[in-house]
Amino acid sequence: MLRLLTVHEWRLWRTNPIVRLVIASFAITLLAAAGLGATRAQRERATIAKFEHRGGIGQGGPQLSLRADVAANERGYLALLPPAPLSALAIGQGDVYPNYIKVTARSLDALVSGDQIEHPLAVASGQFDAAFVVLFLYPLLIFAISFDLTATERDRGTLRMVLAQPVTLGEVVAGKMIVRIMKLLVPLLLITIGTAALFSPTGGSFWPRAALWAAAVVVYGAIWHGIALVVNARGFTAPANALILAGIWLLFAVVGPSAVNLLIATSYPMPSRVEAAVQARAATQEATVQGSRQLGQFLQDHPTSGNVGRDGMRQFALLQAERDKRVADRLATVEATFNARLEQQRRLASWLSVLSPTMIAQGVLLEVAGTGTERFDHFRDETAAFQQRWRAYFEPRVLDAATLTREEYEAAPGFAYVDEPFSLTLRRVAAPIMVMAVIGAVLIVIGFRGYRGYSL
Amino acid sequence: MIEAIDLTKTFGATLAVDHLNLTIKPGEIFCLLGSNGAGKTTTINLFLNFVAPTAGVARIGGLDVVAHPLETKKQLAYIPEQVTLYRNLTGLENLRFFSRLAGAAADANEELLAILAQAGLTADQSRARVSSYSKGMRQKVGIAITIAKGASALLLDEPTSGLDPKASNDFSTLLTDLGRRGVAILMATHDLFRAKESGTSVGIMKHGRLVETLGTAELGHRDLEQIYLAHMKD
Repeated sequence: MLRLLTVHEWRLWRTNPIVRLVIASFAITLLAAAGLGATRAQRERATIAKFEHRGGIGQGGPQLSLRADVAANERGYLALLPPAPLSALAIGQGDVYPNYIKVTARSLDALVSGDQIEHPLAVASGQFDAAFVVLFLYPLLIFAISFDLTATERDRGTLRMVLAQPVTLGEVVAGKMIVRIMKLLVPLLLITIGTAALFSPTGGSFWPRAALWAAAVVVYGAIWHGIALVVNARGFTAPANALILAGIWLLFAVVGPSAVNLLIATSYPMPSRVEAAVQARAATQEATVQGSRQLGQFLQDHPTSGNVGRDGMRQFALLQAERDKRVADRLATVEATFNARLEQQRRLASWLSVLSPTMIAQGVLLEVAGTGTERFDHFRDETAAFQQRWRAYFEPRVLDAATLTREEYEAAPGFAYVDEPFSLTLRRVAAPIMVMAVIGAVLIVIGFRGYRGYSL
Repeated sequence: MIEAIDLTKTFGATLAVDHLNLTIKPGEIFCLLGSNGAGKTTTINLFLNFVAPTAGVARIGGLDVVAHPLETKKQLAYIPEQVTLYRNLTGLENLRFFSRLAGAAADANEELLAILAQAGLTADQSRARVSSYSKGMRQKVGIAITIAKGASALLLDEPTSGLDPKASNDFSTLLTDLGRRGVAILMATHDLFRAKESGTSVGIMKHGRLVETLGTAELGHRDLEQIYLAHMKD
């Protein structure tokens, strides 16, 4: 019976030009979003490949006699973060965090110099990507096609004709729900995952992540379908349903997240990234000036490098190292303050996200796509660990004022980003996906129970 | 068979149906008369299980409609004042959908077109979209659904209201045919003339109570009108 009702509903929809227009617009928007995302990811991969081709070490090729301090610091090493498996679907934090960090023996310079510079409007409003379509447009379209599950059929009397047959109202509503769910969900999953699969490497954790993406989209949609069902079951007219659902969308998808952001910004005001960068630079300069005085004194004492000798060079390197350490310490303090405040914000955001399904889903989709803060933090941690190895390799040579041979230079440690294991991502998103699934299921159950008292 | 045993329905303080006792045997056409708000539509809704009775039992084919909602609906057909079909589908497509819902055997185009023809619709009319149908044509699709379903009980709620005399007469003929086939028919109506013409018996309902039941064979049109008006005066 359910199959018959579903097929019938599907057929009615085929003859409805407005529904066809809505679905076509949705598919085109999704294609545009996923296409743009794929283009962006491909561009990122090309850039990374270009850097990799040049070689992280000694961009431009190693020289035969390269001073250790030049190799360690001026040349340094460009640690690269390859695009995440599903980055075509969600830009996420990719427009804020750098996907490369220059590593030197002195410091990790990401906060000051590594940021991606984006147009302020794009940063403020968020990027247009598949995640945006899923988070904001998908719920709106669910409401657009579900505000009139039964109201018009009831008001016209068709529902009475149908229910005079051996069929329950629950079955009729379920048939209508199935069609509405499939009409949006199928193109959504096909277009998003299909585009990502076509234009991105599908190795590694791509397919498990795609499955999680699908699961997140399904449960997120279930919440909005559930809300629509609950409102429809109240027995209002179709226009009243539309008005109520539009208000709910505005509250949960737009006002809620904005209010939470405002609350977070008020509770833990964040020093701006620019301000942090300025502070970092000021700290660097202060320490540099102190160190430079000593170096200046040294240079005054040794006006030409010719009469310095190897010992003099070592002494100079030592002074430089002291200055660098001072700079690094000051920088670390500024970064620690910035990161501590960021962590407080994140923790509060994580708690408050339960107030809006859009916020829960956003966290999940970015994590699954690999463009959430966790992957960038992991990249930063990996790079920091690499920097220790880089410094350990070069520091003795720098202090020894050594000149490197090609073999020594090539023996320096290299960096290849290793993604966190997929199980970690799974562990992070399992709970929010379950929470969304439970909310969706509860709403759907409440909706169907509400229909028991539906007045014909 | 359609039966009501002490069937009662209240909406808050309002008594809509008051201890209704009624038996309509196969082949009988019982016309329920009464003013607006007398309880006719509520009675139909009780048999359809669209509203739950406050007390008493409504039965179709011997089964309580509340305890056996799906089984009883397999046996009954319903034609409201406005047969509201799916406007974007043809009469044939509508009939196919409702027949399938009812679990009817007829499914092929030829079978369904033959049933629509019995109900008075030509093949061309049957293949036209319902949005182009007159009220009379839609009522005929309602009759076709009843025939296709092989219903043993038929509930009608003001089915001839708004029909022109010819269409109303055609409809009555179809009803009489269904009666001859052994269908038990309960029709709520304001049309005294049609009730006398089509019905085997009439009942007059007032304030939810069935105040008079009469066989139509021994009644003239004028007699029925006078009895009806006498009840309405109180």
